[in-house]
Amino acid sequence: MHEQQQAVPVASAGRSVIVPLIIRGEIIQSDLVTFPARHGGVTFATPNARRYAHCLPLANPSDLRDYYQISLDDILDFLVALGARLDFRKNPYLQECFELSMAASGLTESILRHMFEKGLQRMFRRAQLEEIIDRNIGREYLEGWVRVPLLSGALGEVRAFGARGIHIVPGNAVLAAGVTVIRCALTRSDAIIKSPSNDPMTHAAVVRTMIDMDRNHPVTRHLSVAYWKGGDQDIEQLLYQPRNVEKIVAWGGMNSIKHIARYIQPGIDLITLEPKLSSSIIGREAFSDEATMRDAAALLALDVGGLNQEACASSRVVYADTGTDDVGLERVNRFGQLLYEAVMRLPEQISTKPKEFNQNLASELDALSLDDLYFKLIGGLDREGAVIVSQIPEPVDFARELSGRVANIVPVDDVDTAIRSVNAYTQTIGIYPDRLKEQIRDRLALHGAQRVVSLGLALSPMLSLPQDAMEPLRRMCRWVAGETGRADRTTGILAD
Amino acid sequence: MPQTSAILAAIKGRAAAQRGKPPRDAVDFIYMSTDEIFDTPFVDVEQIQLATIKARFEGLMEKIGPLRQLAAQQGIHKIGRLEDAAPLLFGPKVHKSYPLSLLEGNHFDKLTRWLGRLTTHDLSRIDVSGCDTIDGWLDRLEAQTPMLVMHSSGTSGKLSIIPRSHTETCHHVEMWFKFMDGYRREYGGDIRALNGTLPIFLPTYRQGRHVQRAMEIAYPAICGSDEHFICAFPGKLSADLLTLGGRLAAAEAKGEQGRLTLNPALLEQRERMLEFQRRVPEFMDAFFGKMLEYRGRRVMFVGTWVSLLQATLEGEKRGIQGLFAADSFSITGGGKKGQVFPDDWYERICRFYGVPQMRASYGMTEMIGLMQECREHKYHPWPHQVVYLLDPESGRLLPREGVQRGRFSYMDLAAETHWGGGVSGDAVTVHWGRKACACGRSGPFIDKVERLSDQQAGDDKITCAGAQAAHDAALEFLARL
Repeated sequence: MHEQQQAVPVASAGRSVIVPLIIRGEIIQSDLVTFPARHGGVTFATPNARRYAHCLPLANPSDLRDYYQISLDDILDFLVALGARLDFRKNPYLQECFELSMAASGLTESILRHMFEKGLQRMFRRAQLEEIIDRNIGREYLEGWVRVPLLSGALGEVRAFGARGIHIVPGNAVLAAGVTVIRCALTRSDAIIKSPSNDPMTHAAVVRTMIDMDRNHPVTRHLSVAYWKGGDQDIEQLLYQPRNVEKIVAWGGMNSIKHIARYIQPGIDLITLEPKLSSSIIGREAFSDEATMRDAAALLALDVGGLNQEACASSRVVYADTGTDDVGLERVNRFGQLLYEAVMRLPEQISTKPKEFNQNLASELDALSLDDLYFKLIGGLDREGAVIVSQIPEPVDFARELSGRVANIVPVDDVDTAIRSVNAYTQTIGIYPDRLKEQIRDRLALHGAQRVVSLGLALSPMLSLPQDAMEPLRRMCRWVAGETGRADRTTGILAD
Repeated sequence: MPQTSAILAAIKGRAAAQRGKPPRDAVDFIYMSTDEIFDTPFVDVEQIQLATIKARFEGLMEKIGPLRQLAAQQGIHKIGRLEDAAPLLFGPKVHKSYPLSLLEGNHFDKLTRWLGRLTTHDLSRIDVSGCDTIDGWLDRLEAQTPMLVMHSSGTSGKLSIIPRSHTETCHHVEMWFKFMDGYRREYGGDIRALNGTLPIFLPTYRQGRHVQRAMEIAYPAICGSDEHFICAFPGKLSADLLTLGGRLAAAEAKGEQGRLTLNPALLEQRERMLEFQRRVPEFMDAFFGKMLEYRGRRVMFVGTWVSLLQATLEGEKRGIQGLFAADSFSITGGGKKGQVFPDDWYERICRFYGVPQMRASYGMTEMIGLMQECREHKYHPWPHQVVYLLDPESGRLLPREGVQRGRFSYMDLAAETHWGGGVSGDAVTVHWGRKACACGRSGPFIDKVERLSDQQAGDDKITCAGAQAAHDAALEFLARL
């Protein structure tokens, strides 16, 4: 989304938190202008990125050389040491950032606290980092030229190089800061990170911690963090040029992706981690008895209510193979009640009553609460979350707007209906039980599903596996190929 | 429209019966003169409003399930003060809480069942078999019951369906006549006294269940014959077409399942609709040409400020000024819809149409009666329109005193067979103070009307310009199929 408000000079704006601009190890805190954060009516001040935009790109690609003078293990050592310093109890930058996040983020205090205290550090464990390398690229491709014997007789060589990129990062989850830093460091990429208005500080806090560790370390030297108003043409026209960047990694809403797409031209590769919607499919077996139903409801509650349904992997529409006759409706209504209770019982570090509630959605819930002819509403009037149980085999018309822990359970007569509802905007599908998952996952994949998981795992971290049906780490690299041989001793189009 | 003469006769009878009598129910005011209405002290108006709200609440509670449910949620069993009804206003989605899928599957029986819960009329025995469009369904409904439904412009792809019937339509039509009659000859006059000699210019469809609903009934009393009821487009505004864009998008969102179930009857209309779109410039030219034919005559012309300005710019290009007689009647209003207006837009529109002044209006499809803009540029609610001002964030009722700004909400007491309480998407300022408006009308008055942000107001723009936008978007969609 583009922020609508204009920047104003800080002198006229009273006191705000200062979000520094960081360019390759330099911390800049002058030329401040203030911006509103997305939530909470707070503002923050940050150096006017327009004045510094020309310093942001890595003008000379050879300047990435320093990254190749150290080994991947050196990079890992640095990241592991960074992880140790991201201890929320001791790290003043994270503490300051937590204060701002409490106001600016859509998430509530207990969830944010858990992310800051536990989530961020966990990503920087050595074993975790090794897994990311092994599952996504392979250490040898990052460390040197890998020899690949070819049928032609020539010796092929492949190496994954880092690239110069701009990362338009999401603000709905603090942990994204860890993801971006790790991905850029492991691929030896140069990154300009554009912070989001609902989390303007976390990336900067992580990078400041690195600067304290070693201002001249290649990982530190190749990360810049800036905030500007999304869509600011003065800045973006300058940065989004093939001479300045090779990759744009864009997380974000439909508007922001559409906006960025305007700058795409030969020489710039756009990697989109697009807005997606996720759902769940509950097989018939789940409804065989009360205990199984409770089990499924408890798992589903994690996928619906976790992170207050702010993630794109959060489940919103739930297809339940209960049948749609009277017995089926009775079952699905009972399941709805169990889900509602399970969501309300979730621990506060992963789910709470939402901080804000979409007003349009609130109006929809109010209307449904007056008439349960086609949709039965469980909870919701206190804006604590809700379960809408369809009494027909159709989701509500506002299914795309479900948020704030509001799920819509749709009874169906067979899972086929659920499969056919999947499309290119579907990300994760959580399924119960696993046997059903194995039966239908290929078809789901053909219809557009990007991730098919056991119910309850929708929000597990996605660092070591493909994301959005592609491999962002591989795409962040420039895969350079080589061949060694003599033309007269190899077969090919020209020499035969 | 078979009910036209019956409705006009009923209105006449009602006005005659009201003559010389004091109002007992808030709808009685509708049949009094504008001067009588606004000369009634507001304390008296409020007393009648309160008595009427009590009666409506008690009468409708039994028959209208959603009202009963809302009252139960809010713990309201009786109404002692006007304020007590504020928690009973229907939210903006209540009249569109039906699933769109019912349309795709031709489940008009289920749609009827849904609508039946919102009206006191018994819809349980209506035969809707074979219906495959919204228009066809509503035609059938109106043929078999006293219902005369209205719908919103449906810019979101989903129509609000307002379950009006014969009773409300009488009030609705009378309010169109009344709108033209300014307080103490401030402007306009009694158009019925002109004995059907006033040609009408309406820049939209001749028939339909949106803005034209009142006019298609009222026109014989204004212009006398079909010939002088001049509309830009022939035929009827289609509810199906208004919802088409949204329905196609909703189908898309449902994946393959959605594509498989899109109503074939809708797609069959595609060619006809595209042909219409191709002819729009031709229709507009012809409409303009007709206006020139009536040059110098006293007429009634209707349009949003946007459409009047468009015609003005066209007229200026052709060097035309003073198009109609200076004592012509105009009905206008609406916002600028994001368009850039020249600084002297108002003067230029008046100059082109040849009238010394034009009065705006404030109203919405869901509420009967347009409020008149007075010479002080304030809007005056009619006595059957009880104004509630809510805090846009919390929904809390703001006090009925002093000057307050909030979300315009209302209890439309002209609704007798359905619940008339609603919440708009507009922010307005209400002057409740004891000091009456300098124009002389008693009662509170309104100014500074603005749309709340889309986020807050929902997405269904209930305006005439909105209907056109929905139409255009739908046709664009069709062309791409």
